[in-house]
Amino acid sequence: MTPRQKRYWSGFVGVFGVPLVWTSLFLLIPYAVMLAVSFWTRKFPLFVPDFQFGNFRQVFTDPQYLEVLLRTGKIAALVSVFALALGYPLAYFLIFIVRTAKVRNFLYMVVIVPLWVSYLLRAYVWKIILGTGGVLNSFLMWTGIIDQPSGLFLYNQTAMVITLTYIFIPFMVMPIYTALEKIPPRLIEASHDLGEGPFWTFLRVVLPLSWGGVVAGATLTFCLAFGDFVAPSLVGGPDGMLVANTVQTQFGAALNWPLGSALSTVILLLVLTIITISERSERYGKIDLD
Amino acid sequence: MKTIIQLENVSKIYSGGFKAVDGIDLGILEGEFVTLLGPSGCGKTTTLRMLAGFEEPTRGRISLDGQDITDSPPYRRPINTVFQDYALFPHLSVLDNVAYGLRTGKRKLGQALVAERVKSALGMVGLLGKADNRPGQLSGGQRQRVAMARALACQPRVLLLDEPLSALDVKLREKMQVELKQLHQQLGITFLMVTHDQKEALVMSDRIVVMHDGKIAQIGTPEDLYDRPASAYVADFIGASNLLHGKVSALSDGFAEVDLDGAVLRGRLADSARGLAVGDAAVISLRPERVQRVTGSESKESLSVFEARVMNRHFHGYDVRLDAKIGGRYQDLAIDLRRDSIAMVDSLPPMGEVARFAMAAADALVFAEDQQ
Repeated sequence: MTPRQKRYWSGFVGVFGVPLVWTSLFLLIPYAVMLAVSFWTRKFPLFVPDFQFGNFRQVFTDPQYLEVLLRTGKIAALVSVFALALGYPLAYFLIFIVRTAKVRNFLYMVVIVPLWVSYLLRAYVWKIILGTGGVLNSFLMWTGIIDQPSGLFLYNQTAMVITLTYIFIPFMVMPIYTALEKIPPRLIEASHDLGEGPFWTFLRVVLPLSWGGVVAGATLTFCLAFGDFVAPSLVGGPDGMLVANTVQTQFGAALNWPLGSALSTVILLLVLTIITISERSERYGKIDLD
Repeated sequence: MKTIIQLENVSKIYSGGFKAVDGIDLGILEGEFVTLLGPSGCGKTTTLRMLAGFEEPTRGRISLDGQDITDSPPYRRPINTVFQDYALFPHLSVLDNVAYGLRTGKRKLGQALVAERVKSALGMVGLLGKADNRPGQLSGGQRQRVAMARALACQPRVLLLDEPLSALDVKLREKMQVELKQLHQQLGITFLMVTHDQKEALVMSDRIVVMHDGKIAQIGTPEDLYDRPASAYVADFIGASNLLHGKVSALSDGFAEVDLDGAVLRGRLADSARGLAVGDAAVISLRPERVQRVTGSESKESLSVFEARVMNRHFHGYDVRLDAKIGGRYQDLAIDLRRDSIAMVDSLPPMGEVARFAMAAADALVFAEDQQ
């Protein structure tokens, strides 16, 4: 090795050594372990190294697991849709309706700030709002719509969708806000100038140019909701188990690590597929806004 | 010719009280090429934006073909704009950009008609081969042409051009000036352009509107503005002028002599300066290129002969710029001498010396001092 190469390598190791070790130690090796264990066999009360597809077969044939996967997908999709329905107009309002930068930044911070509050706290808040002694029930009783507290609001899938939407909506607003912010106001003027009113201008100019933000936001909220296990245990009901809770059970009470690993591997592949698709469609709509 | 656009006492006052446009009256004739000219902040762009419908006048009335359009939104005006930065839709192909205004909610043209119009618009600007490109793949000049084609495809009554050539380099800009002018002559559409570049305005326009602090300083043909500026401001803005301050020392028959503490210059009285009397403060405006070098001791009635001290000399290729000082207050005087022959170099006055110069008295204009 020439002194020059030596210098290069010592510099390389100095700068990139620790991050690379960190990545392999805490990310790559655990993934490999998870994948390996998913092929093991369970011999109560222990698991023995093996290479067989029984666990995966169980995941896809046992209706219990398929059902929980589908339910999780449904909940995550609903959360994405509601977050989009609320988040897009909000971001649009901040960028195009609010005139002063000060007010805009303040409102944007108001949307983002909950991210600094403990996740658990934010989920727990909805227990208080929706519970039998909660704000919603008290309000409805005060207005006289109901005369005794209703248990309908809490411990079901609706409560879960509400909670998860609330928790993850900043992840929808942020990318859309960024995408809308980059659209030059001149383009909207140009559209008006060419004879197109506000509605069609939105459909033909604003929406296509912010599509990347929509895809990014939908991907984030979907994947985050898909992997959530706190909301189901706080506000979800007996039919509210999500796939993450099932995994948790396999590693805990059920003591079936191989099956848990197989389930985790399936989730990982699902999420990776979604991210790949979203990246593709984002790249497809990628536009040079200079 | 009939008036197509009429602005009556139009003002734009922004919150905070800034008067961007201050009560302007302006009529534009059908088929004319009119330029709004002025430095930044003079209100020219605001005027254009009010015509396009992007800004609402605080006061006044704008009409098109005799109809009041003051309150109608931009998408209901048969007016199209070529934006300064072109504002092409980056997610659409050149073809779809040009077709944008032909496929709107209300203007439902048939596929064939749209295709035909797009083709003719792109052909007009010589970009038929680029129809499937995205704007991001085009050069600045090509984008400019797409912006033109997009606006013209809508067949507007009036085409607004907001500093259309300012983003191009000098050579291309000069080429596009000629092309734009030819396009205007071919189409017969009314063009209204905004620019801060007086050369561009002189080359392209039928009439120029010089604006200053939200008001119209003068309206006229390029020749009018150049030869008969109404004020020292216009004289200075249209082509460079030396504005020299002094006192009127004599008056005769439409001409005045202005004393600059020692040097006396003769000039023609501007229309607005008819009321000047001997002893009044005055400004005399001299175009650098109209001053000549005098070597003999010739002195004619029509010539204004004066002495100035040459301080510096700059080579400009086509001509030589002399920085000189004139009068007892050593006012700056720029003189451009044409280098029509290499031999003229020998006749250049030496630096640091006093030399004699002259110009036709009719070419120097005298204004009252307070007009500045």
